[in-house]
Amino acid sequence: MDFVLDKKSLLKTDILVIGGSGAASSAAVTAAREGMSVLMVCKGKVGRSGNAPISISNFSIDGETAYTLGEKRADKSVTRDRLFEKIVKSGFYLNEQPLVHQFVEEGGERVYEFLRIAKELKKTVKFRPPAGWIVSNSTTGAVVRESVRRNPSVEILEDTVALDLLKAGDRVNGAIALNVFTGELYIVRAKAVIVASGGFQPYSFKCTSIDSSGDGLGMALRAGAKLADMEFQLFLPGVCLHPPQLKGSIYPFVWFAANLAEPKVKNSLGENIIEKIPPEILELGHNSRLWKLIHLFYWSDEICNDRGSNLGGLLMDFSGIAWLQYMKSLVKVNMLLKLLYKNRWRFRSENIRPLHELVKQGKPWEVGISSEYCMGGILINESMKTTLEGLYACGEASSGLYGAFRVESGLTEMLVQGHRAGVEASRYAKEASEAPLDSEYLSYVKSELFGKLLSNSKNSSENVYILKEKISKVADSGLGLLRSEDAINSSLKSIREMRKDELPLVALHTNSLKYNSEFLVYLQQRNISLCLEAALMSALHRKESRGTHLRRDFPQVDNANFLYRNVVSLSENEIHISRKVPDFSVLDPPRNKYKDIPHYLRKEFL
Amino acid sequence: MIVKVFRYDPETDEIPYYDNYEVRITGEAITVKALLEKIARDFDPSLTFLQHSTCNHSSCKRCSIRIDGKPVLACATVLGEEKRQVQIDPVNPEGVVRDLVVRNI
Repeated sequence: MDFVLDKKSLLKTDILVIGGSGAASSAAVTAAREGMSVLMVCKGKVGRSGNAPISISNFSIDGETAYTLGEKRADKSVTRDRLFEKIVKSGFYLNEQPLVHQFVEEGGERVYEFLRIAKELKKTVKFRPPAGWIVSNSTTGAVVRESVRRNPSVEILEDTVALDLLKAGDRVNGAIALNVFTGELYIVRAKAVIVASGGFQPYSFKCTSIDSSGDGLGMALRAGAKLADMEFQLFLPGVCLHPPQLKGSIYPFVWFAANLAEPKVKNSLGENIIEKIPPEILELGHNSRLWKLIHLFYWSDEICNDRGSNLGGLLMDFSGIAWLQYMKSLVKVNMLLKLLYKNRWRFRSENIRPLHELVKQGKPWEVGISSEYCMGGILINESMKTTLEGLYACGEASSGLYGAFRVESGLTEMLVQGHRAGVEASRYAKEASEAPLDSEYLSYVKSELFGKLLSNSKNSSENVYILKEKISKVADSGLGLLRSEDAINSSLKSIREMRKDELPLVALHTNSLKYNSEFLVYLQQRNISLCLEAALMSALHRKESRGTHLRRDFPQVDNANFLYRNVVSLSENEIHISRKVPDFSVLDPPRNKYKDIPHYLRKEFL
Repeated sequence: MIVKVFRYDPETDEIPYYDNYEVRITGEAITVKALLEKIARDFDPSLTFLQHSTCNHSSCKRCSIRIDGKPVLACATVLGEEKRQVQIDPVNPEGVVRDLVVRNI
């Protein structure tokens, strides 16, 4: 079988932006304002793909800045310094402090600019103390689209998946991309490339879109850039496991986040596990994003020690709450939903009425811990520059801002870093000469992409959908909530075998690239499996617990030995791990050992 | 459950046709999206349906599809074991790229 590769176009631009959500639009618009020609290559539709347009949209900054921006209800005591300290301590000191400084200093301006467009579009923007603004997820998408629309010099290729980066020598100078509907291949030449394509979430249970396949991370790593912090995945407790149409809905989490009538959270023994959390630690989680980390720690202990529910979660039980109290809370939620979504039974766009019906029948909500975001990503400096010339990365695709746990807004991050990437890539592109197309490298990339599948086509037998399921199970078991040496090693062995023996033997039932589902799933799994191997190796090296990396066999937070970031590189198709000590120039970490995560939180926050 | 699915590859097929799959649904109802994935995994990986850039949470509306003629979202519509037969069609048969995938929705 031969691929039909006859339809291809050569394109040229100053700045190529890969991605179509908030970080990508922010980068593209900024570069266009710098006078650059800009091409956005987006896997889906701009503002309707990626995770920002489906997330709880809370754009938070510091209270001082929010107050000076005219928000009189802002809590001025949350100063920039306090925000900086909170982010670094919550990141367990693995944050690159210059990136945190940039986030704190530039967040206000970026968020203000973004929300101004929301207001111009007459969308609801609701302030929430201490210093955050909530909009509906569809508003975030609409603003992303509108900001690009207002800059007609930004050209867009939608439904086009970037496959790999192109290089001349060690300089990145473009990418190869595929229009999924037409099967057309694009060879894009650019003076600089910005990867803003989101994160890597390899698990079977997610509350995010299907696009978080680490495409940008995979292509950057293959081109010779480095990744870091890959062992740190953000997990969200309180995500629907049931009913099936609401699986992955974060609506139950909102009940906790909004401090509403709090139900019991029961394990399979009928114990309310909230009562197992020490009161001062529970209190620390109130009105704070540390809630996620605290509950992750205690919920995981139940779920991973055979005290979970049938579907691998816990039960949110409202039976102990008076009906009137429940209804009061429901009315509060419904009012907010009506304000944001014009419908009191729609959260995001999900119909959440079946959950209310369950409470009416006296039945609990079955909720689990899903993956939400990836702290790991491409290694960058404060100019968003990667270790490869001509290549920049921002937003969830990058790493270093949040260290071992993301305590602040991923949306503010995408705006700040997208803008910075746009400025810095433009600065570089203005000075840079045009890099010629290296046809030898292009042939190499193409043969890596298509060649292996073709040469093995006679023996191809692997069903890509079965492989996809196997890879997510490998992630669940080795890179899951509570990790251990044995489980990580076993997953590492499996993923290496799959990458070597199974992925190249994926069977494709059509040789056309015109909406080839199997090939698209293959592309996702090619990146996910590479990132997963990198993450498992990073997790294996970190023989301690830190942030969301919980080791059953090493519960200590060990600042004496592990205050460094695991950096991933690829050579000869082998993954290597090295160490990087973060920039501690403002806040120097204590070199102590802590018994476990709650002990660390007690010492640092109480 | 007998699942009757619209098939059409404009590059090779003169006219559309239907394939029937007998899928066992036990106990728990499943979403249409999960049903299509089950068919691709257990019966026929050549079945083409949307595999890029869908949100899975009713927001993007890209997984629109017809169930027994009615347009619904594949990620938010459930089918229970009591359902004996179901017909799945693309949301707009004129715009078919392949099987259930329609351009630019």
